Amino acid sequence: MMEKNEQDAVDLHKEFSMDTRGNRPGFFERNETDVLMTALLETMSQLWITRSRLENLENALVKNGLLSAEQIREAASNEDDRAKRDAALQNFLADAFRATRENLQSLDARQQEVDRFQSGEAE
Amino acid sequence: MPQALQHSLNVTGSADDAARMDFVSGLRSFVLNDMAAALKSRYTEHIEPRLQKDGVTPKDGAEVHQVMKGDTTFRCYSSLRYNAQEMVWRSVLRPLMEARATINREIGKLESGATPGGELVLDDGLAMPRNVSALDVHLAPGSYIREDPDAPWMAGAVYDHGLNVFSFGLMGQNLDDIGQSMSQYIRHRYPDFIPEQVLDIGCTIGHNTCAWKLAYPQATVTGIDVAAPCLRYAHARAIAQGREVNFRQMNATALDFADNSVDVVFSSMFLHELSVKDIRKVMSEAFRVLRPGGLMLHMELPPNSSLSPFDAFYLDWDAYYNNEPFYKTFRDQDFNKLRMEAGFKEANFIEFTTPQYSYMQPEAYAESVTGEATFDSNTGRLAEGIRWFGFGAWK
Repeated sequence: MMEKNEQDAVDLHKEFSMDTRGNRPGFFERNETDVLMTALLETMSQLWITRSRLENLENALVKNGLLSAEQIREAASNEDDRAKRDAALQNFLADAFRATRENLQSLDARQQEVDRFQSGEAE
Repeated sequence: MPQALQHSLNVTGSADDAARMDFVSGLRSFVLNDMAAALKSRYTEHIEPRLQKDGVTPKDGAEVHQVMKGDTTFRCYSSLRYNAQEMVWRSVLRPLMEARATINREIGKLESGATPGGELVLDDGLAMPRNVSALDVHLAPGSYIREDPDAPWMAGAVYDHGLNVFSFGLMGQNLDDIGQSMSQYIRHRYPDFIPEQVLDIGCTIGHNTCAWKLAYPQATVTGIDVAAPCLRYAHARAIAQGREVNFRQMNATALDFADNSVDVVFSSMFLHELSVKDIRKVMSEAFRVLRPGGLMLHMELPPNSSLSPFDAFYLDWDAYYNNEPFYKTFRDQDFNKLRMEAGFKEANFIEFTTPQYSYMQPEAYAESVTGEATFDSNTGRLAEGIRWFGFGAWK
């Protein structure tokens, strides 16, 4: 099992694209809805990550006798490491709004494109 | 939730990465189970009765698709599924890119270690077929053939870890349940058949290739694929699992194997990525290289002719929205005709469905092996209760 401490830090948004080539299907009547759905799901994933990590951390603190559940409830948030957090926020936003960078394709246009692709090699 | 891959190339990433993978896997499970059920209810309880009232009965998946395009449930299902698919790759790309140096070291260790590996033969001059070069298959950035100079195995690692998130624990301990189920079905159903040469075509990272070595340890097992990054990874991955399996870069439409030299030509989830023209070539090549008495076996999605219009529509989704344009055209084919055109005789056809070997006691699996192919909405569909479909022919 490989551990995090052996890993190299990389700025993935600079190094390579994580986007899929080609047109993106627009499933809803208004393209804005598609964009918002992507942003919503990314936000939900970040929320889930935060909840998971908080739960792990609090469990560890209590299990190791470092803090009581009561003290955790009373703890104030730490504002250190601002620049690091700001950079992480920018990457988070770039992930969430990636759909705004792509042209959306109607389902009919997409089906025609796939049909053309199929017919070009069918025989 | 994805289980950690049980080999030394597994990357867990940071706590953030692990939680993100859990979320994406859970999202896919929700979409493919709960939302898929809601989609079916929407069709059967609301849309189909309305169509019937108007005297309309969709006769195939394409007609159901046409009707469903305007439906809100379908749109939400599709949007969530499309986004979840993108998120699968994004969730593993980041930790894998960060772990490049570590994985390079691990691969070096494996390839120079005591565990014997099979051969790895790459062909720099091999032309990449359009079905993997013209589009990002499965929406995976860079497709199977993305070359990363600092990590020449990257596309394979992305596929391995991505498939693990994608399949939300339904593909077996090392994503090899299809290979295990298919090879064990053959071993149980045809105990006198002892293959010496097994060929897995379109093997990607060899996850199902290795299963044949488990079922038939005495056999020489070879996986071929056009994608060098996947084969580099497959080679190391097989060593990490203690499996002596060969990997060769080759197009299944033009096999570099002698006539009558192979006992099994196997593929899993491969034919549906090919044009019909190439499927014909693949089957002809299989017939050519098989010894008399050898077996061609493909694990695949069931043909549309065996499915209800709604179930056909449901599986067609991947053709239009997951960059697998031949997913539908393959299943529209007459599988009997394809086999006969390749030279196989109808009397020698086999066709079956099987439960998942990895999740059963060996005795219970042995009892489940029959010659019957029974199709329902769980056949070939990644969801709870799945049954795999296999078809082929003896030469």
